[in-house]
Formats: sequence, structure tokens, C-alpha cells
Amino acid sequence: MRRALETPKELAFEAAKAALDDAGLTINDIDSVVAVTAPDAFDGVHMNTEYFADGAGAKGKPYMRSYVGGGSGVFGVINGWYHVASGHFDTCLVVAEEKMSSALPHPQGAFNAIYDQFLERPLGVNLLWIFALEMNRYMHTHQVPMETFARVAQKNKRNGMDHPSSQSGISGDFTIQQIMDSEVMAWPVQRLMVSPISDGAGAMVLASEEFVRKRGLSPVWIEGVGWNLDTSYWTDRDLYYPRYVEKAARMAYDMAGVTDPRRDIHVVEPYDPFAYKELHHLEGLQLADKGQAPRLVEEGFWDRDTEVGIPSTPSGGLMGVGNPIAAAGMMKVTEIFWQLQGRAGKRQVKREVRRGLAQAWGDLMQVGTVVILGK
Amino acid sequence: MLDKISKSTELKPWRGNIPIYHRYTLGVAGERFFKALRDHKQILASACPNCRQRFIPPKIYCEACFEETRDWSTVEGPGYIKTFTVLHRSLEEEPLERPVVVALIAWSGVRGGLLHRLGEVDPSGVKTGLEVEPQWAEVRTGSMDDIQFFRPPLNS
Ligand SMILES: [Zn+2]
Repeated sequence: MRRALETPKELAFEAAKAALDDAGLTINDIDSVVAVTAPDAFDGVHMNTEYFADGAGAKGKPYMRSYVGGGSGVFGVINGWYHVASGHFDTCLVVAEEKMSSALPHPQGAFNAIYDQFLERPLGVNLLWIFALEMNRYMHTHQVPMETFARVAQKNKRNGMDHPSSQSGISGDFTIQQIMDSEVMAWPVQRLMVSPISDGAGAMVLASEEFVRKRGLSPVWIEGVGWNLDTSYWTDRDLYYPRYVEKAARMAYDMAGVTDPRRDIHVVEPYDPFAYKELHHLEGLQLADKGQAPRLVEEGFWDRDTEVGIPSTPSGGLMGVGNPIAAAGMMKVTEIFWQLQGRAGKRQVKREVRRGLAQAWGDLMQVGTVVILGK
Repeated sequence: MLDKISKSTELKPWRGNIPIYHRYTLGVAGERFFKALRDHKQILASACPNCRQRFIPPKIYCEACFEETRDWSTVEGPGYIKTFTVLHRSLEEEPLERPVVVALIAWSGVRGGLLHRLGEVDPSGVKTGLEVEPQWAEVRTGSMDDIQFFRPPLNS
């Protein structure tokens, strides 16, 4: 928890200020503000985004919170996009924040309360249970060995070593054996195949074409947005396959004119709070056939230095950088931004990239949110 | 659908709460502010390098200019009552033993202020604009209770 001291307001300010400085803009250039977090219970502040809105630069400006739980980091960018695309505002500052170290004895206590009060909560259910069940279903359906998930964790934790915001102790050059030997939390979910508890914030400035031209900025364009909600009953979902991610992706592909995602998407940041989730989401995003994402792991198709594949989570993701939930989704969008600008430094992927995709997952774990960026 | 069940106590419930509690960190500005209260009986303000505005409680940024604040200083002299109320019921609506006066205390030239109790005053004598000073607690831990209450200056 590199940022355990800062308050939500202070985290928001640091991210918002860094985004403005990077764009060469000041707060006076900002016409509107969107702020997002996952459930308020983590920070322990009711109406958390309203509480930290001053740190997000919202004083005296049209401000809006948007909320789809863990999917909010990417959804905030979607909400900011329609602030600008509607023609109503020239600019929108989008700020995502989460401070999970405040929640005791464990943030999973908040997740317990998203499940059914009568059928499931009395059993002490939490996210680890539910996603251990989902992971097992995915493993069973496609006969995926544990080593494959360990390879995903290894890739992301290695990639995260090069991210300036990586949480201490999270990233590193772990061996497959070390990952396979890590503590079993809720079988088959193991300690080094799940993201940590984190504090953080991220921010992005969105602007209209006219504003960008007038100010001589060098932008990356939002080419497509999509989001979709599956049934609220987790028991009724496919489990082995995220249909909501497919629908969100197809919405974004249609808007971006992407007819062949495996040809047209050159770098991807799928939401990876669990190692299996990265593969699950890559299939939902139509970047691999059902059951094929694990096979492609073995070929190095998702590696940062791939020349023929699609590099996945070059940032290090939630497992390699950290998982301040909404801020982690924003971190994924900013990674695609840096990759397309060629400014990702040591994290820069080898292949040429003209278009990338960031995706998050959340709400009652049945929402998919997708943003496609292009040069 | 239109049957009205008015006694929820007669229905079978499952009792629960969100099983979580919080440990809030004071933050960068809060650490300085509460340490000054505890160790030096001082009320700190921070100031914006751009518009020169001073803030209580201090923040690490000016929300108007969106610049990092740099200059920290102690507020001088008494504060004044910007507004106040007299409480007669508790949070749970129980009658209070005696009324409690709470006020927003401000300092001239400084934006913001502190919410606190007033002491050593007759509630009927409290007026907007009245000057007040902190009554420091003997034992201070770095919290708002390091100030027991605000009261009119002793020498006035
Ligand atoms: Zn200022």
C-alpha cells in the first residue's frame, strides 16, 4: 500500500493534477468533471465521490458521479466521453479513486453484502468464494491446467515491475512453481493468482476535436464505447463465459468499425483481478475462441514482446500493479493511451499499435465496460 | 398487492449488517494539522502559492487554482462565530440533559473554519460574531477532542 497515508481527496488530487499537467492544461480548461469509485463501503465515506470531488477539480463545475461498481474505472471514461461527444462540453476531467486499506477486518466484508440476504449472506459468502466457483466451472469446461493460470499471473507480475505506480511486493519475477505453491485461499484461487488490497487514483482528460485542434494537443481518440449488464442472479449466469463482456465488446466494435477484433485490436488491457479472469475476459472480448485463450498463453500470444499475438495487460494489471478497484480500471485505459502514444517506456509493446482496448468488470460482477482507443 | 402490512415486527426477519468497520488515515495535511494540535496547541492553516488564500482545515491543494499548497502557518488571535445552533436532542432523538451549543468558528482572512462545541457560555448569550478561543484538553491525542470546546477569550 504505497499510498496508505493519503486521504481519498489527496489521492484524487494527485491523479487529477498529474493528468492536467501531462496534457499541458489547467483546471480552468476543464468544463466538466466525472468521478467514480466502487462501493462507498471501502473508503468508508458515504457519497465518497461527492466527498472527494474538490480533489477531483469539481469545485464550481458541472459534476457527475457514474457508478457500475468495479466496472466504474472504464465506465467513467465512457461517461466522460458522452459529456464531450454530446457537444455539451469541450472538456471533461475523469477521476477514479479507491482506498481499500481503510476497510477492516477485510474489504471482503463489503462484498458479502452484495449477495442475497436470505440465501447466501448467512453462509458468509464473499467474492473469493463466488469466483473460485466460477473459475472451477471455467477450468472444468475447457480442461485448463493450473499451470496456465500461473503463467498469466507470472506475466502480469513481471510486466508490473516496470509500472511506476506498482504496489510494493506485488510485482516481481516469480517462478511458476512459486505461484503454484502460493497459499490456497478458496480452491482453485491461490494467493499469487489474485489481486491485492490497494489504495490509488487515476485520471484522464477528455476533449473535443475542436478543442484539441485549437490547443494543438496530440491526442489519442476514443473510437468505441460499450457496456452491458447480465442477470443479477449469479446462479443464472453462464459462469464459464462472460456474455456481458461479449455484448459490451460488440457494442464498442460496432461503433469503432472493428469487424475483425483479432486483426484490428493491437494491444489489450482486460480486467484481471484473478488470473483466470484475464483469459475469461479475452474470450468475451472475442480475441480468442471459447476455451482458446489458455492455449494461446502457452504460445506467448498475450506476452508484451509478442510479434504475432495481441499483448495483453502490458501494464501489469491488477495482479502486477494493484487493484484500487475503480482506479485500476482507469489505469487500464491510461495504459492503452500510453501504448498508443509510444510513451509506455519499458512497458512499450514490441509490435506496432494503432488501436487498443481496455475493459473492466464489476457491479454485482455481471457488468462489462469497454473502451476502444485509436491513434 | 394493496394489503397493507404495517407491523414489520410481526414478519420473519433475517438480521444483518455490512460486516465492515474502518480505520481512516489522516492524510498528508491531516497528519500535520493534528500533530500541531497535540504537540503545540496550534491551529494550522495552509496557503495557496497562486491566489494566496489560506485554508482551515489545511489542505494539500487549493481547490480553486488546483495548485499544491506550500506555505503553512499558525492562525493568530481568536476566531469568531460565523454561525451556531443549540442542540436539545441527541442523534437518536433522546432529550439532552442540558442544551449543547455548536458553532462554525472562522478566522478572518482564512477560508473555511472548524465545527466545534462552545463552553463556558450561556446558550442565550451566544451571538454571531462573538470572539472565541480554544480550551485545550490536558491530555491530547491528536484528535478534535484535543480542543475541549471554544469559549470567549479569558481576558475579555
Ligand atoms: Zn489558489
